[in-house]
Amino acid sequence: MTKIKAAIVDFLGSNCTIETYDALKSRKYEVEIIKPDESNIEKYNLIVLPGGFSYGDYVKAGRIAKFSPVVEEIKKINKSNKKVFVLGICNGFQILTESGFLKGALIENITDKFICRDVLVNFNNQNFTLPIAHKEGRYYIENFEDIKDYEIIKYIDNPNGSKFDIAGLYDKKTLIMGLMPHPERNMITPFKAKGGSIIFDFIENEMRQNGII
Amino acid sequence: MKTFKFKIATKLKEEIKDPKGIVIEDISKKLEILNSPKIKAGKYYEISFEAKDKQEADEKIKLLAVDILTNPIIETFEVIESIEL
Repeated sequence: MTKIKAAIVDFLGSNCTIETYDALKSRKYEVEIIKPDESNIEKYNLIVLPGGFSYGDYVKAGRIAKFSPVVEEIKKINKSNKKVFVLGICNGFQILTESGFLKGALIENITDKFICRDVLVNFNNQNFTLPIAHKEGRYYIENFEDIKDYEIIKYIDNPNGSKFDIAGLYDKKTLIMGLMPHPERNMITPFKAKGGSIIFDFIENEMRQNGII
Repeated sequence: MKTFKFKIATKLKEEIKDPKGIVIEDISKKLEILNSPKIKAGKYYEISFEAKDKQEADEKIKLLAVDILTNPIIETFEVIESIEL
């Protein structure tokens, strides 16, 4: 079987690049770390926008990164018939909403505090644990109707005031997934947590079904 | 070219809970500084730049506000002051 080719976009201020790299390597992917001005991204099967504080999160988390050339490249792929799976984790999810790839927006937690702990989520008819670490993770959208076509990763016990308990979204049409929890953080662990693996099993399955791999 | 200066404030939309505002409301009530306060926190910018005329300056500032300073899904902006220097 050919290896999955993945790229992690390392923005100035991304701080989860290495752990994401290790997580993808643990799944036997061919992984490259690329810069946000990379233009040739069609050659990858999976593009990951990692967690962190891209461009210092100045103005608002993800606001400046939306002007990156790589975001324009993802837009081009979306408009073409080429298929690449895009995963935004935490700050990556914020970049995806600010860029308009996924509807809604992420604002400061209702507690106005940085929250760093494990949370229980529900996705694809399973409940499992994933770690969160964010201050701007409260998902907001005015009407549920606007996101009814998305698959939703839901918090069981909403930690940050997210509307409709939303922890993450997956747009099946564009193959774009964004989530505030960090799947990459509990894939290589002595505690046998498997939440991250459930997310990546799902992504691989989607890539297979869409002929990406 | 003329130089224009704008003062702009941005904040979350009315219907979105603003935790910073709520915290300031709570403490101002506790310290008995304000009665029944309603507070919205936001951000403030002072921006000066060159433009051909006032109309062009207004257009450019709107572009900046909608594209960079706010996300219209969650935030609004208000031009508090605009002057030609």
